[in-house]
Order: sequence, then C-alpha cells, then structure tokens
Amino acid sequence: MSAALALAIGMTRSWVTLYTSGLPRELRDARRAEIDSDLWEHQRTAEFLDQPPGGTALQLLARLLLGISSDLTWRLEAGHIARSERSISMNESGTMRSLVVVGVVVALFLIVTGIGAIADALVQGDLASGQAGSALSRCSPEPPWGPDY
Amino acid sequence: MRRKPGHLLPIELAILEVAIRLRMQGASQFYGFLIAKEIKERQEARLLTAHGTLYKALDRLQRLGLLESEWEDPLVAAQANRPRRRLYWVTAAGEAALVPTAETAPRPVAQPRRGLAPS
Repeated sequence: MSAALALAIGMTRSWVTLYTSGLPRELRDARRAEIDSDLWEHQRTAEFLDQPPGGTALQLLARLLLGISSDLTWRLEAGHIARSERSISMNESGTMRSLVVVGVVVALFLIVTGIGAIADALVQGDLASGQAGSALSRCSPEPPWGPDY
Repeated sequence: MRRKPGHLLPIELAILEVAIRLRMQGASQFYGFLIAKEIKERQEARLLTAHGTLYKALDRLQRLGLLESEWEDPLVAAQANRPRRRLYWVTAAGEAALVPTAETAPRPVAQPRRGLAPS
C-alpha cells in the first residue's frame, strides 16, 4: 500500500472513530465496520482496475471531506435518538455541541495536514508522510474482520 | 436541513432506483460501496458518493422502512478474506415510494451529471 493511500485510509478511520465516539456500542461498531468494509472494497476495486494509488487516495480523501457535514448531522441525530431511547435526564446537549466543535477542529486539522502530506507523497514520494500514514493506519482501530465480528 | 416527513432527497431516490434495477438484474441485495459504484456509473460522475452522504442516506431509508439490512454471514466474509458487508434490500414500501416519484419527477439517476452524487 502506498504512503498516500495508507494516510487517506488512516484519516478516514480516525474521523469515523472520532464522530462515533459516545454512541451506543451497537450503533458505533456498525458504522465503523461499514466504513471499514467500504474502504476495503474501494481499495480492492481500484487495484482490480489498476488505478494509481495516489488517485485512489485523493478519491478517499474527497469522499471523507465531502461527507463531513452529513457525518456530523447523522451523529447529532443518532445521539439524540439514543438519548431519547435511554431516557437520560442529564443534559448532554452542551457536551455534545462541545464535542462536535472539537471534532470539527480536529477533522479540519487532519484534512489540511493530510492533503499536504498526500500532495507531498505524490510529488516527492516523501518518506516522512509514508511513516505518518503507516503510523496513523496502525493507530486507527483495527477493522473487525473475521468470523468473530 | 428540515424536510417534510416522507420527502426523499435525490441521493435517497437514486439508491432506491439503483437497488431496484440491481434486483431486476438478479442481485437482490446490495452493500454500500456497490451502490455508490453503481450510482457513479449511471450518473457518469467523476467521484463516488461521499461516505457521510451515502451512509446517512442508507440509515434514513432504513428508518423510514424503505430498506432493510442484515450483516453478512461472518463465514462467507472470512472465506472471501474481507470485512463483512452490511447487506441491504428494498422493502415493498421502498418500491411503492419510488413509483409515484418516478411518474411525477425527473429520474435522478437517468440524468448524467458531473461531480459527486447529490447529498
């Protein structure tokens, strides 16, 4: 896997981990597993079609970036539904709004740095971005592949 | 964005329409990436539907009762050496929801466009 592709996948997984944090386990794990499956299918399809890894990385980044607003609104709706179902009386809305703001800031930082790193990797084959991508990929939650999931 | 209850967005209509076409071609179930790929090809778009847009739409269609889903058998996924897919299918309500729309409005998938699928 190229450094740029590893970085794009790592960024996507990190973002999903971030915006699903705090959701009920079933909901959270389902979304993470579904995105992992999508990433895997996207990567394998690109390999099958012999598409360049750099182009696939940029496509993944675009899919991440352009879906952020939908991710955030889905998170707010899912959190609201989950709270309603649990009938929690404590006021979580302020906490949730704070989390969303923090999430957006972190996501924007990741995206801006990621775009720069991917561009560097594409242009120069930068070893540092490769290490960053690999590290980010390693730090991201392992996909729940296999028969136990 | 506030919507009227039951109002479907273009991406949601596109999912239903493509899913029904896939079923007519023999694929009774679909998964997220497959439907994104089919929509991209039919709309001649340059990019696949964004993750957030796609999975939010699938989630909403499920909550409206227009789609149902189940996770793939873990053994099938393990034998194929890949992550499990979440498999969706269109319900009778989903088919019914598409029919009046298709008669009264332009079909979103039938019109080629450039760029991302609508959110």
